[in-house]
Amino acid sequence: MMETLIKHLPILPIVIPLMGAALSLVVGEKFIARQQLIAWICVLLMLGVGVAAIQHTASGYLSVYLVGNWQAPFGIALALDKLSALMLLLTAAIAAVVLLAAQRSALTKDTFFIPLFLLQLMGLNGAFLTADLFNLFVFFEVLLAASYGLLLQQPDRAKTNAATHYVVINLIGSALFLIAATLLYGVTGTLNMADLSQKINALPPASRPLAVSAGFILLTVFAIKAALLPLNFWLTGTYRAAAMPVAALFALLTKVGIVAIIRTLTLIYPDGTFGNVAMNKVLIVAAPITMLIAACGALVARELKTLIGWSIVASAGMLVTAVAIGNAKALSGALFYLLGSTMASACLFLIASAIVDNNALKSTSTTSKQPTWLYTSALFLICAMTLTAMPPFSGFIGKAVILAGAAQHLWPTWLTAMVLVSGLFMLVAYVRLGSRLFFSHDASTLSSIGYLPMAALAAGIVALTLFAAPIQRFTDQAAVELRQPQIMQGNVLGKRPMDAIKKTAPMK
Amino acid sequence: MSPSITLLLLLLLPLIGAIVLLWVKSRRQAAVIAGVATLAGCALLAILAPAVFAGEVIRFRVEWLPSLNVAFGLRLDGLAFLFASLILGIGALVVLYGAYYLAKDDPMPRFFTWLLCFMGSMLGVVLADNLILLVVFWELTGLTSFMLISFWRHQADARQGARMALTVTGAGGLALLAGVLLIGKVAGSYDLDAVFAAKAVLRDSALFTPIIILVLIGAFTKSAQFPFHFWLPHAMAAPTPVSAYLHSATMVKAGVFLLARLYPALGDNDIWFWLVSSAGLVTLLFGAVVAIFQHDLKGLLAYSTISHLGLITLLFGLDTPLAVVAGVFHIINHAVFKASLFMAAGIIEHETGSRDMRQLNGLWKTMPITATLAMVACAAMAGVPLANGFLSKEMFFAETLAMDTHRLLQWTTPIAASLAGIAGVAYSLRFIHDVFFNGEPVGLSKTPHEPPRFMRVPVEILVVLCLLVGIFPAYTIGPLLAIAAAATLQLPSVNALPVYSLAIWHGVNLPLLMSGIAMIGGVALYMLLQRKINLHTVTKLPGNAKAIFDSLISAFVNVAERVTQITQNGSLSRYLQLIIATAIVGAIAGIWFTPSFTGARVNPQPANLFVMSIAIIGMASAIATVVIYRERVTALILLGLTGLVVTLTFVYFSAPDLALTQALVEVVTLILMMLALKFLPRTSAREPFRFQHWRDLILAVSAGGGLSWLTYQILTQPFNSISPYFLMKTVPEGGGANAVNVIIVDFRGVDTLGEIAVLGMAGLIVALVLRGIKLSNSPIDEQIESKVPESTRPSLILSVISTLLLPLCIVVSIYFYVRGHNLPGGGFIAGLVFSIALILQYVALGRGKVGAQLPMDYAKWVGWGLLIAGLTGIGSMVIGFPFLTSTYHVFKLPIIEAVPIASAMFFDLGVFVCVIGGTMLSLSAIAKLNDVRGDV
Amino acid sequence: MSLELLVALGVGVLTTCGVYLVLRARLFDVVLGLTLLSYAVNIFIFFMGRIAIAKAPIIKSGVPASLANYADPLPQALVLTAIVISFGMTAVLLAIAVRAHIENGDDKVSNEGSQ
Repeated sequence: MMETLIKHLPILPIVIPLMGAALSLVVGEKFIARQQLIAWICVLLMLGVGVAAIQHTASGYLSVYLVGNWQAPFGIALALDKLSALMLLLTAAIAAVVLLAAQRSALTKDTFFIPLFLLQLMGLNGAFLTADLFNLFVFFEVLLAASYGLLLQQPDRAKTNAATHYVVINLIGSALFLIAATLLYGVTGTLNMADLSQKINALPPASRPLAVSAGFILLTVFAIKAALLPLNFWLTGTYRAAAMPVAALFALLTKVGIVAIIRTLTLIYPDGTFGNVAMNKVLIVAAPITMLIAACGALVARELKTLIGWSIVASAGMLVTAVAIGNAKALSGALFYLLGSTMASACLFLIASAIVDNNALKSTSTTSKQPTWLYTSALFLICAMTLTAMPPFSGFIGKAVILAGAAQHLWPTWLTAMVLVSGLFMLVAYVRLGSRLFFSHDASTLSSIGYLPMAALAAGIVALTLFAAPIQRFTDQAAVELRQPQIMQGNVLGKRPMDAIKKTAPMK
Repeated sequence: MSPSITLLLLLLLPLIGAIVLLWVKSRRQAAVIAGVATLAGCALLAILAPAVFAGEVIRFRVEWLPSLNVAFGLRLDGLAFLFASLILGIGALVVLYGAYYLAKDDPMPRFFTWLLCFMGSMLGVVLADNLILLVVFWELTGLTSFMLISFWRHQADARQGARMALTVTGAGGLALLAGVLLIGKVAGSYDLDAVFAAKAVLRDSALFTPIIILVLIGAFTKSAQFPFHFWLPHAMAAPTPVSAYLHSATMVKAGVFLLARLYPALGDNDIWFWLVSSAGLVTLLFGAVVAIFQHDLKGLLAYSTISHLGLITLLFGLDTPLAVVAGVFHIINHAVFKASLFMAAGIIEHETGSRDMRQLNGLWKTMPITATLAMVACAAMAGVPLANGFLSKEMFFAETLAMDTHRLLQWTTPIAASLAGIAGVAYSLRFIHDVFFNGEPVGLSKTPHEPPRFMRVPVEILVVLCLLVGIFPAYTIGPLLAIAAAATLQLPSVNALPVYSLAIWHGVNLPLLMSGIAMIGGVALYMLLQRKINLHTVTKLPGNAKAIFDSLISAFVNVAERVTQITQNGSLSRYLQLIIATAIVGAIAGIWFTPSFTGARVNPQPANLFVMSIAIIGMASAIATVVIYRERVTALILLGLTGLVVTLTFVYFSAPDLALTQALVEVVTLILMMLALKFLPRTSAREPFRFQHWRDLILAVSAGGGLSWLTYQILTQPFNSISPYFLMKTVPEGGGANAVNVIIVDFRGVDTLGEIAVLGMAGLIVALVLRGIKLSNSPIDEQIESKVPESTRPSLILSVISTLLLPLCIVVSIYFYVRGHNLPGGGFIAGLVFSIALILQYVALGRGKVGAQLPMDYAKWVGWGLLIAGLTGIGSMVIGFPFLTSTYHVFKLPIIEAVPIASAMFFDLGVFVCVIGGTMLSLSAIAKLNDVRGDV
Repeated sequence: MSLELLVALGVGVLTTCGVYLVLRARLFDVVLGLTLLSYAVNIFIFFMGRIAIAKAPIIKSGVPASLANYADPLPQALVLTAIVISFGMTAVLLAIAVRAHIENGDDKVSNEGSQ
């Protein structure tokens, strides 16, 4: 049993939500309870798979799965390395919280919410797992389509307008993705990332410029997803319009872009290759500026939702900066930072739905709401400290590690200055808005969601600090693994399919 | 219990207390818990005391951040012990005091929660065994102090003061972090011992200057050194216990603690000397002078604190072992007398309702005991003999005189010191004279009287300490000072300390003379000021840096506003322009960065006239679409023409499956668009801004040019790919002659799985977007009524044809489905044919009939489709093969002779069903829309 | 004029038209643009497998299975996927357009979307 599980481990995070979605559609809208049951089963299974994946990869394996039993690079291969394992578990965790929140705010009753929610998860997991560039495109489309649907639940004017921008921008992104991916095929004749990373380096000089151009277009696409400057504008509006539990789920969307960028710069164009050099030159400038601009946006944000949106952009800038720095320390720091910032922004979105608007606040009495105020503000504090990289939470730890990595880079001053200055801006922004939200009036009531979902996320953030040691040992290993593309190449291309099922002789 | 565990507990106690307080409601309980936590801390410290006095360093260590190679390490040496005892000792008194100070309606549990949190972070700062951990707790003190300063959060000035404090010290903390990271880079470790050991390495490194500057910014912001001093006076909006605790005894001392901590590593060189001593000197004088002109009691004390912190900083800057000893000594003394003074001020405010020295006069009559206590404390502040302040001030004077290394400072420092001494005496005098004498109180809200008994106890204890230390220094403070100083200088033992004598009388010498000058001068100065310019009339106070700070912040915000408006103006086309431009620039960058050489090229093939003419038609129709895009219906027809040409392209270039699919999709898309157009304006309004059109045109042309350039490059380059594998394996292992279809359903089955999921979702989304639209009250209702296109008018012929067509189409679609694996076709094409049949029904029979025709819940179809496809994949997992592994078997069928039934065909069945579901969902959603309109 | 050049030109023209329309302010025009753009992209993908005439990738017995005798099937499969997805997305965008028109009384893309 166990080894069958391990054997099929990489496909499960895709199959489970897919089947769940299919079943919940077959069950039909009328039976919400059954749909929710299905969703919970899927999410819990995903959590289990996520834990298993962490254990499996932590014990030194990088398991490759040949879908349809076709040898890579011809068939589609899934690769479960430490990075994808980390993302799988994070996704499952966020999914559980979001599902709980959605259920409590009766969002699950919305049209097709459960199927779309599950397909969103399928898309995310697939994007984290696949080792095939075009397949990555497909999973991007899956998760995007699902996100359109989730964003448009109960469409009103605001949602429709936000969706218009979001969809059109992403359709352009998809077109660019297609161009980039197939351009790479036209140059190298393959689509498997591990194969690409070998073939690109073996290219004749005449083809190299095309390969790099393809890389840059690819980067543009992922930068849109990761909300990197100057492609970040879709984010705040979309997140503001979305129902808050959905927005909490969307906190993962930018991370897909980040992971894709990591894959691009560590696998397709690994460190030291001609493509990588060129791209890092650009990113090492664009990413820190993104941080700064995002900090500016945060400074002028008048609503919590907008502020969170900008924080997400800022953390994306931070992460890509780390990726551009590229050494193992920075990467490890980035992975650690990613966990905390994702949970914190998700949690803040839930809090945002919990804080009622100022006018309502003024009217509420001081004493009666004291505990509510206390808990809400405590949760807010933890998340804000994480996103502004205030110690002792994971934001600070990750940032410190990234900066330690930056110290080994060519331009330590530029990087450190940008990181710290934008950090200060974020701090000021949060202090301004936070004191306005929690100080100028004494109470804030909670929506139907209740504390459990937020408390769970906050607990996760605290755990990141308390158990930093084992987690960092894992991220360190993950970073080292990423820095050695040959590991991925060897495992993916070296994986032999099983002896085929007995087939009758081909027809004459 | 082992010492190291005791040490950990010492740090955790306050935090545990704070957590307990979260569930406490009553005021009394809160105070008790806070008090117990603090006293327990004192007890633990007492337990550890013997070891520390014996010269041991007690440590606790557990792995924490392997990436940074940083452990969670605590160390209790002399210096840490000194500060810990200040934090806990004065902490205990503040708790007692605060319990009486806070008003009935102040939430006391919250107050003590944050107070304990602060206590814990402050302990962390002094106990940290490595610099990263120190920074962590450093920032935490800033955050907790923010919470304490803004305790009365309904007061605007409290909020502002708190924000300013956090911003300034937070910025300092970031600078400190940068400095620490640099130290770690140079020294190779963040552990204090390693850093001390790396003294020489640090000094020789090129980064030494930046390191010192960054660290000092951290220290100076925290200890309110000029020019970062301005936040401290505004932090006085905090409740007085907080001021007494944070802003005299502990937090502001964190900066000088840092100086003391890092002195062994960074001290003893010119950069340190000049930066630290000059900052200290300026602050010393500035603070002392400004203090004289304050009317607010706490304001006076705040500036006096700034001045004394300057004094301590200066001592560390003087950079001699003895000066360091004096510095440590004054840290203790200042903490003691300034805390007592703040508490006294608090009592006065508490009992009179005012802190303004222009109102408070002649309190001697009403509250003599408090007055006496305050006067003794003031004496200590002024450096009067028999009070502790005198001793350290003497040492300070002596050190300023001992400055023979630097010619310039040899004279200036002692003079400045004396001047500061004079000012110090002056403001101490003003405190006493203005508050307790100088006539009668003016316009007080309350009638003054002595405070409750226990509120005075803390003050009494502190004042007694002042005197004890002042009179018997050697016996009281001697040993503590010794170990603290030894630890600061990182000496092996206290015996290695430079000789200094703790006594009141050293005979007649220059320091004594300077003290004398300070005394007399101070008295004279105060009287002069009273006589010549009545201090009460002084309204314009010097040193108001708040305005500058505020304008700075608002300037930042304005810039941010501007930047945000530029980057995010809300216009979609702007964003799309940016994206496309970025992509183009990126593509060019790719070529720019890579040195290109001309390589082998394949020789081009000629195009015959037929192909060219077709192509030209296609391009022409595309361009035409753009030209008349405002006439939407016409544009649609032209678009269709372009689509037709695309189809022909696929036909000509040997892609029958694509041609079929393209054609069918074309039909469905056009129908969808026609239907949608019924609910949209027929014509698109003319847009303004001609230049914008030109900009877009340029962008479009460069995009097109770029892509066609890329296309040409690829087409003329030699090619070898993985595809031969598919051609070779498709029949023997895929079980189908149609390579494309086998790739779709087998080689790359996952792609298809995702693809149909997307199509299915598209259907769902269309349905949920259009659900619940009430066209009856929508603005466009009438115009639609008027313009129902011909296509939807029920017409007899069409309906007859379509009814005949339906079964035929179904047969055709099944045929396509079956043969798909070997010839052009497959589940997707079949599905589309099927859907088109249904759509024709709809178009022919008009609104509402489709529902009647096929009463189906197409969402379920999507579900079934995905389910079938998924189960096919899982099936292979059941028999132990990877997901979607296919097998096939050859069957004999009547019509088509030999059909290999591949398991992939079940997968294709899923595709078939899902496609119908998705397509029909979209169409029927719009159809329903029609009905809604019809029914109203 | 060579086929290569012709194809490249075709892709270029389609892209240009598509991009220009995508940059219009009204959603239906954007949809038209996106459709043109998807034509361009599909043709681009298709020709990444190079030009092949009368070599449909349907294996006939006796004809050796190599790129010399058959068109590259992989890009064709990719185009199929691309067509399907863009079809679905067009439907979604049309629905949104209708909705937006009813919400705003006009299918002009509003600026509220992301500010």
